[in-house]
Amino acid sequence: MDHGFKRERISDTIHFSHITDTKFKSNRISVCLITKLSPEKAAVNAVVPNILRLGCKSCPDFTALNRRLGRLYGARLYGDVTKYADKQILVVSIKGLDSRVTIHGEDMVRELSSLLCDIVLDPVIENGAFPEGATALERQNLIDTIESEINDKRVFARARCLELLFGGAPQAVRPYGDVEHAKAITPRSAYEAYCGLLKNARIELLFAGSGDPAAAKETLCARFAALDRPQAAPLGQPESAPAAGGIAQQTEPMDVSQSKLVMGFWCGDTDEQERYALRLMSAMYGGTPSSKLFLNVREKLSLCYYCASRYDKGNNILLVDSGVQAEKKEAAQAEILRQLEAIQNGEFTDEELQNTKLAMNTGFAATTDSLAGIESWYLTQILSGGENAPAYEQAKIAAVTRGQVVAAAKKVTLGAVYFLKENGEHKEESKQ
Amino acid sequence: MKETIRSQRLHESYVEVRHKSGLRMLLCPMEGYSTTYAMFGTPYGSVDVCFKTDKDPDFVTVPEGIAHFLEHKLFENEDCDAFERYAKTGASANAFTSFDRTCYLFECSENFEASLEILLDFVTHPYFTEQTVQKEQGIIGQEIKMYEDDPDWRVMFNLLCALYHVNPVRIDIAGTTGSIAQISAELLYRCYNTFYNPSNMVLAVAGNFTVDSVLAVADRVLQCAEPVQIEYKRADEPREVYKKEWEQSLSVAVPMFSVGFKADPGPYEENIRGSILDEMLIEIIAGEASPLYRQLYDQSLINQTFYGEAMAGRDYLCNMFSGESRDPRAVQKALYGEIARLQHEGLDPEMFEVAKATVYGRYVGALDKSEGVAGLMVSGAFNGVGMFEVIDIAAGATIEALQQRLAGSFDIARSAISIINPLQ
Repeated sequence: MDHGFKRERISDTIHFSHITDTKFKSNRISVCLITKLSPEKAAVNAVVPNILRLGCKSCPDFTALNRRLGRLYGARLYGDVTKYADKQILVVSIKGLDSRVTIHGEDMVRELSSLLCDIVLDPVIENGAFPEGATALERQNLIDTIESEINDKRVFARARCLELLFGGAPQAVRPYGDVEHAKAITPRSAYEAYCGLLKNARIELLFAGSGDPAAAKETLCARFAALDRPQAAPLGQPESAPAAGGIAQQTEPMDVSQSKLVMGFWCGDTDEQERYALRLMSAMYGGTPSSKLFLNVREKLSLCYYCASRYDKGNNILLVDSGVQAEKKEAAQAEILRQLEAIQNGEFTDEELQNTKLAMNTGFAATTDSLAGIESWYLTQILSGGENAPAYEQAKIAAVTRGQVVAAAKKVTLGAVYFLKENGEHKEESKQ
Repeated sequence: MKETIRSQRLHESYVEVRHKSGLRMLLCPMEGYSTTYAMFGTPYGSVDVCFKTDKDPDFVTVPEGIAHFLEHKLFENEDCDAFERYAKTGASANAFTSFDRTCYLFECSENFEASLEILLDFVTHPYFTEQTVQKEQGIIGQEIKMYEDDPDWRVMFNLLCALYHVNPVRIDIAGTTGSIAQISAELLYRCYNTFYNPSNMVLAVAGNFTVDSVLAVADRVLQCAEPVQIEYKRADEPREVYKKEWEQSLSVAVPMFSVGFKADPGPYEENIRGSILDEMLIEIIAGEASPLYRQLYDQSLINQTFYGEAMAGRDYLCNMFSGESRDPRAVQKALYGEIARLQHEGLDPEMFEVAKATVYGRYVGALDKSEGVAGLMVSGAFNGVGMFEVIDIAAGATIEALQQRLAGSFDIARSAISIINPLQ
């Protein structure tokens, strides 16, 4: 089932894509601005979606804007910043109910598309810059977001491992940039970054939902086609990863109860077919509750609470992460490597391979049952230069052979080991 | 017994069946969906630490965290564990324990009947030994440690510890390393035999399946059992809060806070109906469209992490506002000020309409996913408010009803704050 994915060209660097599925009760419309990740510009770009979501010329007051969204059945406006390989993706999305399930039958698609265009293309500008107050607020919020990466130790540890693997390459840059550059953001620099994005970024307009995309297309295409973008050039494929050389290692102490071990692996030079084999291999290695890492590191040896592997298609790397006690780190690391070696030696049954394919089928099917899943799937497709439906890739995975899995596993080599080590006791107090 | 429950508003329906085993089944085939989501649950959660059946002479008090421990152990039987069985069908399986329920679930795109058979079979066939209990104590000990580092989790439980003196809602769902060390196979069986009787459980299925396929599997797997009546012993919880403040230090960048309001619980169903209206009051007090949100945001006292939540269960009811702030006490003071103003001046009709549409949209939007549908059906079975009824309650809310709830649901005299400070 291809879900009627259609991609239409507005210009060389602006496209409108839509996926219509009447089973949903909502619609989700997104503007994605895609640019190359750079340490200097990541922070100032990242502040833009959050300044935009505070208001626009047609609705400059944040409270009035939110009342308008509230009346549209709690439609949600999101400003988001993510990354894919060496690209930074700045997203402004709006999601709301479809007209057929509203109480009063409002024309939701047209209302939401029009508001989204106003937000992205017609912001409040004062003397050639974003408003001082809005910029100051969102600069501080950005700094807090960057500093709060430490709150989720699992995510924090994975980002650290990525830094170890990629060193100074764009792939190591965090999507929100760093505090130093965030502190330097001014109303003018943020506005200039915004103008630069509208002029030069690749723009992907996405519609997913049960409504008629025609209204969204009409509104979005007319407004975005009018942008002046003489310099905009298509973004290339990700730069290849730095050549593997040795194993980068880092241990960082922190006041936590549970340590985090993250191991980053290079996957070598691979073609498209080999990447399907790597995805399957990673799932069999540590992607399901019947995977080798789950059954051995967690269940059999009780070395950790979780131990999982994930293949990062954009970067063509594999990350294994685990929550362990410090004294079990060496044993867990050795077992993680031993299980990889087992796959490299072909020590897995045909049933294990078949079961992994079955588990992945559920994942492919689940993608098509959620709006966020569909949007994320096709955005990733667009970023990697494809338009494959989940069913197409499911068939590709199904065709991967045992020999291809072994060959893929043999290309996997350890590149970095990051260890967030527990250190000391928590302080707890209560006051009355 | 087979009955079709319809929503006039949404033009949708689901089927309710009482199986001969006593199991209540709520089945919602959803056209166009590729996956099927099944949830098999019992109204037994972390708060149920003192109970008896109609056949037991006395109440038993069990160690904290035992419902969650039982959830883990049920996946294992004498020959193999449930995950190994699911591996052959491709289903993605999981389970969770919350305050007042334990649910076992799977999502699949093929082999639905085989996966459902595994679900119904392993949950109805316990196997606990002292050896397997001991092994699980290590794994759950690691899970407990992981949550000790999670500031979102800690800020909420510290708030519940401040609001409640003895109500077990203040207990961490997984218990403590000390409490789970007291769990034995014998105690697990006692809990199991009390709460896992089919007549007290519910099976909800949503997505790509047929009603007949579920009935066929249920007929094949489920045994008839004599119904069990459960008596839960309620804690004698004082009306007042236990502490006004609870602070802890963890490695966070910006202080985190949660301000909570303790309300008087009524019967379960009434708590749920009330909490839907409380969600609207939360939007009016400090939702993104409220004047207070704007004021706090403009003063950099809150950021996008700020949110409000209504929490209702069998014998607890509270509302909370949480987020990050450099000055949590200033946020608390501002919330108190706005609540007092609304109590004194009355609710703004425009804000009421905004809040009502927002909450209505939230519940209808949840029906987009089979997971949301199954979850709402299970909740409805346990708390007496059906999936479509929730939406009708939201659509039928009145400003008068909200105004009436405001004093009891947001009582400043019965509130507390929990703060997670950054480590020095």
